Amino acid sequence: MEQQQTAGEEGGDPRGPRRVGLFVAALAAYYVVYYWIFVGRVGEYFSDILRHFAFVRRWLP
Amino acid sequence: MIALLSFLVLTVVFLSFGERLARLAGLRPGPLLERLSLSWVLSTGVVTLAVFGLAAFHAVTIWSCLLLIAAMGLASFGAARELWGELKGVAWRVALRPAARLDRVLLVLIGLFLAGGLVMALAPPTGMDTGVYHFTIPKVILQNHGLVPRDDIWIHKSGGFYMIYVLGMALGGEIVAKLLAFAMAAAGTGLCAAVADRLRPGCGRLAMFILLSTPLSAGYLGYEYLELPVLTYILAALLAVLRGPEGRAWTVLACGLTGLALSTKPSAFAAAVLVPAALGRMLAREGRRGMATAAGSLALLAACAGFWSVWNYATTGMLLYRYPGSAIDAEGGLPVVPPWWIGVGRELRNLATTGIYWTDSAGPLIIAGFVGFAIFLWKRERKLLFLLGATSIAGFVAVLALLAPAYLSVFGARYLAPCIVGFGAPLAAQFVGWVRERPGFLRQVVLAALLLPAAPLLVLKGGKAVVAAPAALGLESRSAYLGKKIETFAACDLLNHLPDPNVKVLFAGVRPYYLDRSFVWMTYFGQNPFSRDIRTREDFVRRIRAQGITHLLYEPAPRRSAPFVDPDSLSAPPFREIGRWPWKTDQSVRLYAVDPP
Repeated sequence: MEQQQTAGEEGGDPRGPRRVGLFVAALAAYYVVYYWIFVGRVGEYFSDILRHFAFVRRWLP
Repeated sequence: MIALLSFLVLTVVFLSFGERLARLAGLRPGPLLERLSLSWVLSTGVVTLAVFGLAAFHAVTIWSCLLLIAAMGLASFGAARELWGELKGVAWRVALRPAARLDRVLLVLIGLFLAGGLVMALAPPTGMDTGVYHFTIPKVILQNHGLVPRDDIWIHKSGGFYMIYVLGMALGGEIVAKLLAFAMAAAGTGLCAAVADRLRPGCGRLAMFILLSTPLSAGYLGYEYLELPVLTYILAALLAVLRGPEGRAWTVLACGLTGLALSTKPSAFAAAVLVPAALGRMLAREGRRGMATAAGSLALLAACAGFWSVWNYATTGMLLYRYPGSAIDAEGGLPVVPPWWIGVGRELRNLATTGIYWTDSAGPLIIAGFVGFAIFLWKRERKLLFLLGATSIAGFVAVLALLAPAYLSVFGARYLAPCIVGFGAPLAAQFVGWVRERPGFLRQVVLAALLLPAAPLLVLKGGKAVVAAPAALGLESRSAYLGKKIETFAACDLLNHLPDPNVKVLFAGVRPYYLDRSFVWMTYFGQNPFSRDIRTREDFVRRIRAQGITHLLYEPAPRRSAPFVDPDSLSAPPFREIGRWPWKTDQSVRLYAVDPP
């Protein structure tokens, strides 16, 4: 019942496709920004691990 | 093997005791996953308070912990048999082979995240803050059979879940403690599913996946931090709020669980938004008849949130202890902070992306879920989670901006993440569940946005698990594993094996957990109580003698303010270098013996 009502509302609402388009565009932009920062953080994490590998290598006989 | 057996027994006792407790409180049983998860959390809460009681009276021993578990087991024998019967009756083939392809994919990914966390939980502890305090404080409590007031370690910071670590360490060692933390996080995923299923039937699996594929969960699952226990308490309290109309006991429970979340980590104070939600809904239903229940709920909230502060007050005269020489001590001085609006802006940016580490994030889907819910579902679905999430974010940022702008820091994203994930994961599941039922472009995009975050996190978690697997499976010894991971482990190991029983160490290093001997800790940043009023090298040596220090462990720390604790000052008598190990850069960890006068 709810789904039928939802489909009807969306189908009859001319703002529907535009709203979807805006949401998708914002989502894509947000994911790009998020992963840009996230990759930077992961890069810092791996550079720390590499420094740690240096510690491990020196620790080994 | 002993650790696994201990954990197995504890699992049975926790689940059956929690079930028994729920029945005694008159809580109507829900679906099996919800019951098991809630039972675990209820037992965790009771054990936290009971072990804290033992610790306050210096009665924490293996025997008192065994007695506690035996009493819980005896009280819930019938519930254990009943649960076992229900578990046998589950149609596992159907549960593990859902019809829809997306559900099967989600199930596999959920299994991979949990397996990665389990491997990490079975390996010796290596988390930074674990070695600094999350495991150090439970170890000190266990060594002293109870809580001991100390200036040098952060034992006065409320850490309710430490009591679970104490129990685990007492009954089987550090791996049991780690497994108990892992089980608490697993209970959180079950509760997340339960909450989502109650808001939108059929969304439980989605919610579990969304929670597990957040950087917060993927990063900390299998570790010994406090964020995931806080998250689990928040989800349990949220479930209790949703089930509030079934009876007043749920409202009381919601407040008690919120209190336990706050006592686990006070920086999660924004979780307190659950209290007005629980009480407001109950009072709206019942009017004046609910006043007594509301008063009882607030009393339970105060007890569960404030038990550590009562001990602080009894031992130091302060509810919130100010460490001498620390940033929160008046004499320590406060850091310079930017104008509040810059701090707020940075905080919001960090909350929407990541904090200082990649783990300090709720992930992009949850933020997208909030926006998607507001755009598409505002008029159709229950808004409780959206309002709780938005209020917790606004409250957190506002309180810090007004009262403690220095804490609007890169760590803020981690402090608030349990709230954002706790309220946001079931909310995002509501949104994705709605989108999933609608064919078209939006469905394809949102499902891609759902699955994408899992990929890098599974690679990261998988990599960590592969490194930890030999130690987790017993193929690599604890000392070999930790010797490669912890810069000061070799020095601690040497000290632990010295024949002199009176060894006392001035630990000028980051992670004192690996030291089994008596120690005084010098924090690795800022000032520390040991160095207070030391003006000359003679003052320093005099204090070393007065406190009975026999050894000094030095680990480089650029931000530490500790006069005369540096290789140059320590190169002359009475200090004698007895060991040196490479550190990350060209510097070294050094171990000194303090020669007698």
